[in-house]
Amino acid sequence: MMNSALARVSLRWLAIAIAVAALIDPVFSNGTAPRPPIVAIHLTSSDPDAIDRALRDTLTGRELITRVASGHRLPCATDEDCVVIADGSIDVVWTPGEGRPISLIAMAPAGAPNVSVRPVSISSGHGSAAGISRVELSGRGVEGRRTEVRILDGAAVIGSATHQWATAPTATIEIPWWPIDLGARALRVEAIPLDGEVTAIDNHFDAGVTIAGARSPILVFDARPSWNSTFVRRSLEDDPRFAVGYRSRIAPTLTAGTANGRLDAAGLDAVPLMIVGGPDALTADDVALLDRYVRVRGGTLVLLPEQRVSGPAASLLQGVWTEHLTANPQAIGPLRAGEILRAAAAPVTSTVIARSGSSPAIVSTPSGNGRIIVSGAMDAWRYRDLDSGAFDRFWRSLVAQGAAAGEALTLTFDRSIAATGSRARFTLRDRRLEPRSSLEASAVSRCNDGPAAPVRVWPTGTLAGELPAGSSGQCTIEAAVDERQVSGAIAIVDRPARGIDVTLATLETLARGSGGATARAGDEATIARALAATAPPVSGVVSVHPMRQPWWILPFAGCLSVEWWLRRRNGIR
Amino acid sequence: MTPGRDTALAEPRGQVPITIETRDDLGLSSLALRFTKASGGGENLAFTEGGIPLRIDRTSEQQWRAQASLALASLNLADGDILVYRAIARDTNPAGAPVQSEQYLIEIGRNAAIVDAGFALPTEEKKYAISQQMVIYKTEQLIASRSKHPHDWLEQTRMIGMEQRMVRAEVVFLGGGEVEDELEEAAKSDELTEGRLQNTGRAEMLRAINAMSRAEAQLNDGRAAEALVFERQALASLERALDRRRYFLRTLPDRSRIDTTRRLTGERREARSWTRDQYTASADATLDASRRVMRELAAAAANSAAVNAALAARVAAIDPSSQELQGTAVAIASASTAEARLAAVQSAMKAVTAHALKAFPSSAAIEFRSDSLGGLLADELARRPRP
Repeated sequence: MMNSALARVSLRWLAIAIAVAALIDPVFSNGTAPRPPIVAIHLTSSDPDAIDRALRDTLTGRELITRVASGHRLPCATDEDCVVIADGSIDVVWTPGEGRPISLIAMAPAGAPNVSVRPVSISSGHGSAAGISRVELSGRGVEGRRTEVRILDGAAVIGSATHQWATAPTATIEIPWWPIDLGARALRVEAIPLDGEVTAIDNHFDAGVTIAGARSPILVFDARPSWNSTFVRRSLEDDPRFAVGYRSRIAPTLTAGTANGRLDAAGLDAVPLMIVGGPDALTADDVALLDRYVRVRGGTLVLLPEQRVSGPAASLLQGVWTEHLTANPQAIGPLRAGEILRAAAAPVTSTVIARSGSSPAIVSTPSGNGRIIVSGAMDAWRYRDLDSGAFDRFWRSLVAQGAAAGEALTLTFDRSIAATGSRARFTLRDRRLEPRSSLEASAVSRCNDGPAAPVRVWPTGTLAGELPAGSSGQCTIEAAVDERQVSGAIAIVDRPARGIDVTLATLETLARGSGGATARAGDEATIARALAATAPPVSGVVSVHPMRQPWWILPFAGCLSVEWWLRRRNGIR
Repeated sequence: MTPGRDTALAEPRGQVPITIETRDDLGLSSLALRFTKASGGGENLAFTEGGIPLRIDRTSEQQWRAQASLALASLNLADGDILVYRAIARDTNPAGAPVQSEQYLIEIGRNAAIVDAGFALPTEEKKYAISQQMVIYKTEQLIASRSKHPHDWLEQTRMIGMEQRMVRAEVVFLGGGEVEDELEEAAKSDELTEGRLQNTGRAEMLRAINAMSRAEAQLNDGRAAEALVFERQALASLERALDRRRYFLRTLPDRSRIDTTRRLTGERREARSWTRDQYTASADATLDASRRVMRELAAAAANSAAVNAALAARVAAIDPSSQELQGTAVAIASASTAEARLAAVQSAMKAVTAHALKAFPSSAAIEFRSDSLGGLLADELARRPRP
């Protein structure tokens, strides 16, 4: 009886002690803490076991855990030390500056034979014209073999070319292609793998192009009758991409041309590109208007001189241009000419489109918001039937590019192709001869066949917005700025491949931007040293709250239950 | 036009394939292949005119490609007959004149076949070329045996120079008389080569005479090696001048003429600016069919059940005159295994792409930067040039 009472009291006080301790929540400190693990993120097409092992060997005192990127975002928390192991075959969205430094180990394909393909340029597309893609091929151990490069739109082969390998390890080839539909298209450029090729991850890349359907209005103005501009105009008139307005000053008070071919502010505001023939005959007023068209309106001005330009128009030409006459026509890019205007030296900001010997002869020079292109191939029209229509191809392509750059209202995406689930940033630019102090802008998006959804645009100097790229297909932004309207489209694919070189270069830039280290596979020690140098300081005191463990409820309830059972057995209520 | 050369055949048998490439910046409206048959000889020469049917492939409005096959057996050609053929094209300018290609010959006869690519020159004319060849031969022999003529070298070279002068005199006579001023004639020969006068035969004769004079001068001075260069130039010019093709007038039809009677007859007060309609090119209508078929081919690449005779027919219908498309259509229709069907579809997609690319205005790879900061930098550099 005595023992039972003692046991009841003990159990009761024990339960009370547990409850009081839980209320007090005592804290105990521990002087040692485990260091956080390193996270190795695999962005590779094959398992990089060897690199993982090498990392484990070189990391001292830290655990290595591995993850595989499954979505389009980098699976690395802001408080984790991450090492990205990438071979360039998988691209992810990664915003640096949000957490700890992220390091990169790049795996380059090794062995032979191997062919890799890299994008150089891809022309803008139009429903009524062929496009052209320029790619660089690199080969290892491929001498004497033949590589076929194809351009695919989905499963459709819309362009192809072959390259015969000789001793040169690299080659740049041009592949013509044709559009099979309008809007944003995701094109894949792929080199068919050779027999026995060591890897195919570097044999393809994706590129987004927008196939336009509308004609670009082009204005050709001859300050005096000009053969040079006449034949350029004829070439453009035969191309369904352009609607060519034209006016020629044939006498001091007489002009000839189309009804919409006017050299005035309203006419210039509407055209993205203007061609001027006989610029030496431009008046000072003409030159002032054209200068404003380029600098403020952001248009593209193409000057086609037929002699060294003097007078007011000389201010439109940057640098010193001199005339060279040759007995036999010389090659100027794809053109030929015997009467050539050469620039002494192109400004550092200029792009030399074609050279005569070593001297720039066709030059694009940015000016304000726009650009001025000067063609020094003054009598190229004489040789326009040579080289299977190279004259027409050159001028149509140049004008198509210049017109795209000189549109009054443009909508451009930061990337030409977006990954499913990502956000695609776009920019709206509105250029006018008379800029407005305030603008009213709006935009809606349409993805595939879905309904229109409003998109917010923000004034950031220009206008910018973001489009959520939901499912694969294409999304179109239709934007309006005051009375002007524009639309832009972007292709969305699950995992766009931008080419392993481009992807690795981007990842390397991002890694360096985050403060992380970069190294090639086999040099994991560099990464280990960098991680050791940037490891977070380990805290000397680790606080422990023992009463916060949930299992305390079991002894508490047990004590009370046994105490109650003893009381019932002894008949005590 | 191919073959762009004259042809000599022993017998009038077989086919001569002819390809014609035509191009005009305005646009083409017609193209024809015409021939003239010259039969007989001497005073009894008879001419027969005719046309040869063409298979025309219109790459674009401005560029046509045509093919023909000249069946020689059907033209009743006899030994010694000559067939002259040329292409005649018209552009869309209603006031424009037809344009004729260079004329080419087919000569039938055993003698013609013997002389390979050239022709049997008439004896009288051939002898001048032979004479010049003899001068060259003698000069070469003299140079080779120089060591044997230590004392009479100058005499030997002057002997050859005399022969050169005789050959030159005969050539001048053949050309119609004495050349008064060789320098002036030489200058005129440059004009001829630039096309200001359309008689290249005369230009070559003048060049030959000029080269012979120079060779003679070098020989008279004892410089045989230097003379040999001019002798060979003279022979080359002589052969070009006496080419059999010179016998046929390769004239072009009259161009549109300017009505000079209307010059300076207008009233300045009546001059007005004028406006013309805007010209806009239209896209090739056949491209829609190519696009539809390409989409079907792409779908069929994923589903081999869709590869059937109907798809083959649609591929062939894009352009019934395209051998590539017809070939791939046959491959699609006859494919029996899944691999063969896939290969046929891939091949058809390439053929449709190649066909569509011919119809499109082609592009060139041209790159120039158009970033917005470039202009600001250019303006700043223009304001404050770097030292």
